Amino acid sequence: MELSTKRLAHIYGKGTPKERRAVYNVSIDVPPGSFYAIIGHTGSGKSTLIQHLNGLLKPTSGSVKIGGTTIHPDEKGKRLKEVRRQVGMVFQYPEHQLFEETIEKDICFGPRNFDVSEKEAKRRAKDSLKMVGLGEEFLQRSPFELSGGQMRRVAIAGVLAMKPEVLILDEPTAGLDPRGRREMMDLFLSLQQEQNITIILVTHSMEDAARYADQIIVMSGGTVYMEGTRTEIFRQGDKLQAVGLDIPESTRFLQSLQERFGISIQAGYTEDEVVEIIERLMKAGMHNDG
Amino acid sequence: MKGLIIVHDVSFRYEDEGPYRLANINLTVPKGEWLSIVGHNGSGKSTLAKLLNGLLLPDEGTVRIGGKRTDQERHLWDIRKQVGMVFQNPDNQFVGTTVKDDIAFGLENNGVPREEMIERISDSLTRVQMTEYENQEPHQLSGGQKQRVAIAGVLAQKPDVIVLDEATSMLDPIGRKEVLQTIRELNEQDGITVLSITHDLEEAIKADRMIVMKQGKMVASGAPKDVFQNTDLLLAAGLELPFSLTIQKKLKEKGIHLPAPTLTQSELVDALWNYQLNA
Repeated sequence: MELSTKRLAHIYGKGTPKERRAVYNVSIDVPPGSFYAIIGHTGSGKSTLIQHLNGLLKPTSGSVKIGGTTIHPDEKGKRLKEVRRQVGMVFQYPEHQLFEETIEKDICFGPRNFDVSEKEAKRRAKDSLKMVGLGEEFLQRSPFELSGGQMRRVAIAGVLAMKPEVLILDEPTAGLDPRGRREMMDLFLSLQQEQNITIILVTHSMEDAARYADQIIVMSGGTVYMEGTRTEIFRQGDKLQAVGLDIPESTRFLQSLQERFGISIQAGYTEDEVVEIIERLMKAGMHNDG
Repeated sequence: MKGLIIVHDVSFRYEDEGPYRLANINLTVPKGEWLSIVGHNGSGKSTLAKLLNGLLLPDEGTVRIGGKRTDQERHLWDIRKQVGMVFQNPDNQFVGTTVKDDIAFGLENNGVPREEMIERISDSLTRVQMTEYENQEPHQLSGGQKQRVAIAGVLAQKPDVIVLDEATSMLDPIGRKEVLQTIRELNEQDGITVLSITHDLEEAIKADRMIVMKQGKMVASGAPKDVFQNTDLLLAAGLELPFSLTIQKKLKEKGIHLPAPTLTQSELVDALWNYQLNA
């Protein structure tokens, strides 16, 4: 499914004293099945941008193309319903939006609103619960008996039950402990690789962006500041620091190793990549001595 | 040891017949200490934080702040002025219609005179670098900006203790560094005691002392460099090791043994340099 924006701009409170330009001149094109990360300083326009990608906000100027639908500034609300099904949005702390007495009812709520039959909705509840790593035995339990991480999984299952083609995640690991964070990120990777769902991840974690994303968009001051692969983005540490961002610690580490050893070292992002690079370096070092 | 905070044999559970969320906790925090509290979600860290200013009261044992017991109602007002809390999600902490009003609210409640109020608001906003937002509506701010305003609200109360309950988890990397730097200044220059509940082990490494919580119990306490020696205990407590330790552990599996634990990146670089010199 095509997902793109063309010279998108959004102004909050246009024509009022509180008028504020949140994003401008944003043209992006997200290929189906890809894993995108959007990073940026707080207030850089990330949240405003993603709310256009499922029709929650309409552009002040420019356009957004979502599948067969192009959203222009004068868009009527009605056509956006299908768009919101196709592009699932997981907000920060989605577990705060759980409200039903059982997990099954909570997950079925979305599909039922889109006129899915009760039987089909229940089937989807079971399937999507499985996708987020929770068993059938959870269906009849209250969502409020669960741990924070489990509640978040249930909330995400509720979005998956709409069978979206794109999943937008706004800082989905905030507040989880390190292990929970890694499990959650691995879940999104499996949704992309096994269910072929496009993932758009808004994150403050340079590590997650480097580890999981095919392509990274850096937002600053309301527009696209950089776009590229992790290598293209993270070799420009100074440019990132100028807008309040940073490089992953693996990159930083390899840079200081490079300085200390006085030789050029290739880029690495995962822990295993770093270990491999060190191993090679240590072997080379022994050669020199011998 | 005389402590500003004395937690004595505290147990706590949310329901009468429910499981204990905290069991037999003993903790003394001297004035001016920076204490990090780490542990998996559900380990009791946040419950402990809420016991420190009387938001929760112990089922057994006592909590004393500057000698005052949290379970004696006449002290609560003072204790809450003394112990400022900043929570994870700032959305639940705002009452004012503008940033300025929000900070003023807490001060008005404590009867701070107007002149002094204006000064404290401006000082605290400067410290978190949010001065230019003083007339904005809090709900228009991004998550990280809201958190900085919440911290300013606590600073304006001039507390003796600041409890940060994952307060920087929603900030971007530079924002996090700035806020931690601000709090470090308050700790070092003004002697404010800091209790930081965090998942950021890199932050915990810099604390004076850290404690590790697991299923309602304190399983380790000490200087970070000592606590991090016991990597198995940290992993069993559901934590992930800091980057440098992880790399060191993986190198060991490949037959590259570094002699001492490397807590920071520069220690690891040095250890590798020495390793290849001696190889």
